[in-house]
Amino acid sequence: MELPILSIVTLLPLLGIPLVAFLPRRFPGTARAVSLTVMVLTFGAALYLFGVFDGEVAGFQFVEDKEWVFDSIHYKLGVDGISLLLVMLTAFLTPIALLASVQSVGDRVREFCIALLALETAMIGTFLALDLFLFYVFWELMLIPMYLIIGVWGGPRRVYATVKFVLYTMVGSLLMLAALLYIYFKTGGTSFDYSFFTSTLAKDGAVGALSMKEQVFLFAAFGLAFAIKVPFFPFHTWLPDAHVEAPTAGSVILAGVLLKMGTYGFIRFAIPFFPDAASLYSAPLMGLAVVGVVYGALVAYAQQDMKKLVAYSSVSHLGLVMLGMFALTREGIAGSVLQMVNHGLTSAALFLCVGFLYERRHTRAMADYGGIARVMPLFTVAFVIVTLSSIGLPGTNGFVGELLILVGLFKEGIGSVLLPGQLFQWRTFVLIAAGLAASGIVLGAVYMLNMLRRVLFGPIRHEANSQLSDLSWREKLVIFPIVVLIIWIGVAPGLFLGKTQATVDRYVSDYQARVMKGRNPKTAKRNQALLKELVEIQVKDHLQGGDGIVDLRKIKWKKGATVEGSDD
Amino acid sequence: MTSDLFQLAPLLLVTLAGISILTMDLFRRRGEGGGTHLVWLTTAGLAVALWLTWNLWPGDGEGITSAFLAGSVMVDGYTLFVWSMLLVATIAVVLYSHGFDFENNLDNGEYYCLLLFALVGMMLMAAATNLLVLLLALETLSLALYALVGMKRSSAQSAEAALKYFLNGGLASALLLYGIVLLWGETGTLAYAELGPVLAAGEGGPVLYIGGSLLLVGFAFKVAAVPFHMWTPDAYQAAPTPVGGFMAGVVKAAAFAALLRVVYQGMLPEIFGKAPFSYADAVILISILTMTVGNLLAMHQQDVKRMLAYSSISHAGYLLMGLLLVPPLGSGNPGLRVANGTLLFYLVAYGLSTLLAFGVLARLARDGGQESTLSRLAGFSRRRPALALLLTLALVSLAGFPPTAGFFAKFALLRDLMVLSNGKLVVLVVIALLNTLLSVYYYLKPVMYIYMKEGENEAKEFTSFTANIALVALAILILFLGLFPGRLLSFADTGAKDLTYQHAPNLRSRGPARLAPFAIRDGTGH
Repeated sequence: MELPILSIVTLLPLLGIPLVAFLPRRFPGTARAVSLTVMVLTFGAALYLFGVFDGEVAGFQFVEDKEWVFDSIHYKLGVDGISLLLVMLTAFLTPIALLASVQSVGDRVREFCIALLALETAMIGTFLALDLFLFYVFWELMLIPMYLIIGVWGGPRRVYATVKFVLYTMVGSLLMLAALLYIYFKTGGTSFDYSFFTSTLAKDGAVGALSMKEQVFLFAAFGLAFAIKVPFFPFHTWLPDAHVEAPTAGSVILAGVLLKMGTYGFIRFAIPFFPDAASLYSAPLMGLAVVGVVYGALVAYAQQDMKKLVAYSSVSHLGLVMLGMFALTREGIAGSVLQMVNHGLTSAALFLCVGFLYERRHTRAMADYGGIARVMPLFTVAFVIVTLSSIGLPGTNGFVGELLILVGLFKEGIGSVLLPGQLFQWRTFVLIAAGLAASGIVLGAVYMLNMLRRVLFGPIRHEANSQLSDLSWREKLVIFPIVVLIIWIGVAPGLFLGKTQATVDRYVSDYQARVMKGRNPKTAKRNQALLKELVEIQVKDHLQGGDGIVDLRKIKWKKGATVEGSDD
Repeated sequence: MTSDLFQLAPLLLVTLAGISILTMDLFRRRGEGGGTHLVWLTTAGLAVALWLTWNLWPGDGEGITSAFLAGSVMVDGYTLFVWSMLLVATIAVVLYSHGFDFENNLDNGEYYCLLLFALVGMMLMAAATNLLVLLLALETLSLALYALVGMKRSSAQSAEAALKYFLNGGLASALLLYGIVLLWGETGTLAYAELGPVLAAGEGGPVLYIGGSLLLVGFAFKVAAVPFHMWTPDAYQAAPTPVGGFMAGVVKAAAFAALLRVVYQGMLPEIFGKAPFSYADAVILISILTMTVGNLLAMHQQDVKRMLAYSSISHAGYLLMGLLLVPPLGSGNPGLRVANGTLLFYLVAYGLSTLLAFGVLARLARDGGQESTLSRLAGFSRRRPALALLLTLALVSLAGFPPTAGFFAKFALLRDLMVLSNGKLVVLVVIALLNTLLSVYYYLKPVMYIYMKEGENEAKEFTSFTANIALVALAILILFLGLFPGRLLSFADTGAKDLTYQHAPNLRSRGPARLAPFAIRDGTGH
């Protein structure tokens, strides 16, 4: 029998819960050690998964499929290039979050460990679930542990922040449930299977084919759930509250993994299920994403509280991820997948650094620091590298991701073949968006470097700061693995990009083929002509022994179906 | 149709148990110990009844339908399923009543025998297939309940609640009786099986639909649907806490089970063929009102029991949506029987969760005083982490978070509404889901107090091993049904199969056109 590696990765943390639950309350250290062991084992399993995963294969791998409730609901897990990296990220960050909380969470340690373990299962399960019922179960399962982590171990306004977090998330996910039930009904009421949905929903003439209007409503319902999670401007207002009040471990998980649920949801569900609506609304969504990039950066610049600054920088960075995603080019998608991981690592590391300072001085105001570099050299090294990665300096992971996204955008701007609306306007729009996004990155450098300057450099302004001790062994253990990864991805991203390559290629060509067939009235006519040709070319390619995946930009279109100028 | 008295055995056994406990109590010296042996005796009686019920459960392929008293009482798969549900829930109530001191040593025989008599009434309600028997069963139940609510004789609040409940209950019974009389006057029959075809013939005028409406209003009182819900918060709050749980978790389930049988076997929707409103419109309106008003009022309650009372109102709203799944609305759809099953599943899930919540709350104050405010819960998780976790689980299940029974119940009910109405009820589904959002707000409030506030007072919760068994068993059931709902769901389907909607085939074409707010389709979509 084959090793059910995905179930192992998903359910291992869950098995740790009874172990921890029955430990006596007076041994908090044991509870931590047991949970940490379980989490490290999970990471080991995830590493094994990473090793055996075949980056050349585009579809889902290691699929496990069992009947759960009658035949319509299955326990189905699978991994592809997109979810693989995110699972790795989750398994990597959770033990770090636990280690980082040793000092800050001294109260009810057992309960904290249980919440974190449950959260890990839920997060990994969300990334791996291929049955939408299962996905929804995991998705909702994340809420209660996170509610408790922020609400029990958080800062002074924790109750307000955590209720806001839960209610915001619930609005989206309940509408998503309604949409999910609707597409279940539309596809015949037989299955919640992911592949079944993708193959029936977007197909012309199939049983479950949706009208344009239905697609738009459903896309909005799914999109809202994910947009709130991202958080996508203007649904971001819960984020600063949640981040500021959450304990460091909570912030690490929240910024590192939970926000990726939103972007992952768009990539995995919203776009493939409703490609026509996605293409119709890609322009307004990209517009909002650009606003998010610039607005997030400007607001971040105005912050005095370091945690708030990092929180707003997330709004800005995830706007960029969304931008790359909706460009829907290979580089854009690959970049945004990688950038999800990058942002997970970088923002987690930033929150950790802020947490280190907070644990020493119990303040997060930048004005209370200054000259920290003199007393905490090791910390300074880590903080500077992490900050540079957040800015996107070459040699760090941020550079690779942002560059790919921008390349994707410019490519779409220059050589777009799919036509959401008028081609010329679309191209201009994408180019302007790319330009603004690039300026947002520059703004990122402004506020991040400003923070570095105010916190690390200059003279020591406060007496209390001159006594600070440098990183302890535990803190080094927490921060330096992330720093190593930041540089690793920055210098040699091939290992990671290679795993996603085939998946992203297939993803983009699937999307393009579907939109061409689609019902977007503005473009349907021309797309149909393009499609005819595409199919011919694909067939030809296939006959010549190719894989049928065609780069649309390399095609020389016949006259009559020409892209240039024919739409104005 | 066989008429083997053995098939009534569970019902008779519970009656017998009630009478023997009453008799035994005569020989017990007052003021001595708790009623521990009474608890175990009652439980044993109920357990045997449960065992008998399960023995009657039809095997694969064979059905059981036994009519008694000239077809007035029916023991079929549906009855058996509901009986099992009621028996299990009552066992839980009996067990967690242990150690609960109803002031002046009231945990005596009368408490347990009243519970058992109420149970007899409920079991008969589910089995009744004649309106008169239904009324009698309902009265048996109600009389026992009035006494149970007023159990705390020295408390003015309890007396007030009992009186309020009595007056409201009396009104409801009167309306129900009036409705029955009108129906009888017009159709000349009280048996569901004969009523259905007469109604389906669609001959009756206003008298019929007024009678039908009154019947439904009577039930609306019993299940606490808005605007007939006023008595609920007072009764649940002032009653001794285990009784509150009994009313919210068990009685409501029984009332729904009886309502479901009338609606299906009596073909009640047909009554409204000539009414100015359709059955579906009325049910949609009342269900939306019930869930929304219940949720809105629950949001600002400071007393957890009162909050749970409003929550039970809102759950009645969700359950009422299940009444839309009667054949005229989903005709031709093979999934219909599953839909009945999901409603039963919802009843079970809701009942278990509410019972667990009340069961934990019962532990807050031994004397059942007004000790269930939100602030009383502050620091609960430090004093009693296990109990706090159980209460959290109950609330999370009521709110409908996975992996609890409450989540799957809600999911399955909404899924069936969506599919069986051919997507026409999508707006109702969205409204129901937005209502869930409201409910999340107030269900998480006690959780907030439990885990995020520190208690100032050194409040004490009392412990009882017997009660703990019941609470832990309830929690395990809730989690089990959330993770593996398939087994119970298929039982529920088997039970619900017996609720056939006996359409006279020749009347089909005339069809209840105005019953359905949406066109009936053959399930293919477009």
